[in-house]
Amino acid sequence: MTHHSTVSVAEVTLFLEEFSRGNKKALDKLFPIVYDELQRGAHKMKQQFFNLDTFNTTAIVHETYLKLIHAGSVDVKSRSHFFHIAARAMRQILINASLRKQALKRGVNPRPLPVDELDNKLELSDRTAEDLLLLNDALKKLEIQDERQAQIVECRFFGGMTIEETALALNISPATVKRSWNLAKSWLYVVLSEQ
Amino acid sequence: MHLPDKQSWERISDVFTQALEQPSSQWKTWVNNHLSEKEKKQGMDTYILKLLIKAPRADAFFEALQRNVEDDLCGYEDEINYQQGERIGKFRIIKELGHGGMARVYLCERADDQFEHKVAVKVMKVQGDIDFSKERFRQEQQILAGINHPNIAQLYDGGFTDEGFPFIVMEYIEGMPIDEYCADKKLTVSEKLRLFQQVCAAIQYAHNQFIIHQDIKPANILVSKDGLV
Repeated sequence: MTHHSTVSVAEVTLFLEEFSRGNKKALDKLFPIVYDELQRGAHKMKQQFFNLDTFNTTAIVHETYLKLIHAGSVDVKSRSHFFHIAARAMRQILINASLRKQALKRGVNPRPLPVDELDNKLELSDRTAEDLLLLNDALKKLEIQDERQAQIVECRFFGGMTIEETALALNISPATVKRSWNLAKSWLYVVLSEQ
Repeated sequence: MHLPDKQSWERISDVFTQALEQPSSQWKTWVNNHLSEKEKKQGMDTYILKLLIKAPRADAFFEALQRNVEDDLCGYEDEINYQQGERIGKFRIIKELGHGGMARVYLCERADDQFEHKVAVKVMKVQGDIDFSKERFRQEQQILAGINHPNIAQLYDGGFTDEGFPFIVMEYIEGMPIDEYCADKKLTVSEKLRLFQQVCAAIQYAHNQFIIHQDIKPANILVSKDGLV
């Protein structure tokens, strides 16, 4: 069992509300919970949705939200904050899976993994893992230059968030999200294609 | 591609965003007119143009990557991946026309060179119960074979690839999605409506045959050079 199994929905909701009010420390408590639950969700969906063609990251994020948060008691803004945290967690989950894939390809076993570690079961193809790692490297460069722009990429790409949700989560206008996302996409693509 | 300093980045962002709203043929002039001589000397014009030119491909890249991640997480591999020159049934692949979650579409020609004829071949992924999928596919093929309308792509043939994927062979339409066509030709309202009448005729015909398309959208409605839907 994971370390957060004892945390209740009420508590997680409270952490989210604290974070939304500006208490950055609440993120340290929230992040690992969201990370674990997303991973669990992704794995479960893999089994559930095997026969369907409707599967996407947005669905996992929304499912995780409904599972962890008292949806009725938080406002739209807090909800968007949650989605952003989930987007970041998703980025980390995918990058970890990509690193593992790469290590295995090189014949190095990165570290012995406990059997119940679920991200172990998220199998990415070589090509996807490679693209994600390149994207992550380029994104880190962008992060240094323009943190908000990188956050927009996290929300839009890794979290599958809409323009409006991203705008709410980052406290900027939808128009800004739209233009920053366009520029970031082009820039990242140019960097990746120059590799 | 290096990142310029923060101030230049803001400026690049502004000019890029505004230029992106112009038609692509105008980008060069537009960027040229909106940058100062000093900015051009710093190479900002080439920088922005590079970003502009790659914008459509960047969109496609991010969409494809997202789809690949989702496919991977779903647990099925993308087994359908034919290369140019390979054969599907009697047809030789010229190039891939596109792919979605469930299928890939290739532009093909007859491999036996009996007659020169380009066709679109759609190869479908099989998931879950293969026998069930095959049966459903056969039924669908039978229904589609009975359709014959000037505004609906004709179905020619169908079958299974050597690997067991079902495929259908359709009339290849060299055309533009209807929304792009309207914008490109700058159609007037009455011209647009006349085009729409063709769409309606096709849908009415299909509905009369008890067929529901279920995915009608501009990208699926193509208009040929001479204005035929």
